[in-house]
Amino acid sequence: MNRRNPPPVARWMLEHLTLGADSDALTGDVLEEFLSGRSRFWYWRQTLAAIALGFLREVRRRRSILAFALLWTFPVPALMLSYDRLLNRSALFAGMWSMPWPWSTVCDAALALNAGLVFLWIGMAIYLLLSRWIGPAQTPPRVSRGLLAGSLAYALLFAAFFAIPHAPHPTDIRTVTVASIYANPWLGLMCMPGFLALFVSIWIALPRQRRTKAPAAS
Amino acid sequence: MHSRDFFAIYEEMRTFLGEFELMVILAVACLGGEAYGVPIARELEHRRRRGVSLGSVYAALERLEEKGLVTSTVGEPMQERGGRARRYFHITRQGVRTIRETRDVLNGFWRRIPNLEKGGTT
Repeated sequence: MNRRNPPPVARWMLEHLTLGADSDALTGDVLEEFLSGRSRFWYWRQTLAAIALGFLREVRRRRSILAFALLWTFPVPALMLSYDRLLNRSALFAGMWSMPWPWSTVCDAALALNAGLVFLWIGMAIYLLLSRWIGPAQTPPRVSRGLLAGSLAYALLFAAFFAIPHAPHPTDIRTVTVASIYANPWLGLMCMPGFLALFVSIWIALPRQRRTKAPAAS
Repeated sequence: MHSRDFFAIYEEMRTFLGEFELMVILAVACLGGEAYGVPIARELEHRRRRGVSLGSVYAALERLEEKGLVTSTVGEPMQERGGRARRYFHITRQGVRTIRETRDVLNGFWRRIPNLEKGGTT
């Protein structure tokens, strides 16, 4: 392979996976320096560092989403407990508990997933409505993508959470208290699927923050 | 805490220069009108005698720009850069004032420890 060609995989990664408003200038700088005699190993190192640092910069720039997602999903374990108790008392769902396994569990999980998704969508809608006042408006395709990605992420993380071996579930909701949920690290982790999914969905739904092209340097 | 104290602390935190940020802004000042990613990274490698990633240089430049200590302009797309333009960075008046203040503070400390070169601290 020609020495002057950067590694194709690394080049693709640098061009497509580097986040941040400066990604174009950064990609050009790495190529310029590589063509001046740097090694392929150097190019790979710069690529991986640029992707990691770009991700961290973007998270830092969007820290308001992080804070909102954290605040919004913090009450999830307590709400899930109330929701489960409500279902347990409801005559409408009484037949569900008497179904043979695995159908009772499948119905229970589906209802919990459904409630989580509705909570996620409400959180996303509130954040996007608030951000419209102070930032650029979101476009329907981006919001749809955010909604889809967040919902899929939530479903996958929800399934993964309940698939974790040794997690203390099922929990007896007759005896567990809200305080004991937050005191138990495993049950406290119930916030995580909602938190990550909400963060992903809002991130994708919001317009990308790109620099406007400043006047050319003299 | 008095509200004026709070805003003074906030302002100080907002314009506080980390070690790497200070080196980056000094490199921008040294390079004058030719300060873009590649020469800034080379200057840092030359002065620090160790490698630096362009990603960390851009992260520091972004923070400096947020603090109003540097500004940037985009050049023309260049064939040898895969059609990508250079982003040139310029130090602002506030940036010059900040590095002068930082220099004065650091010089004050260095003057208090003249024996450091000989291995002592008193």
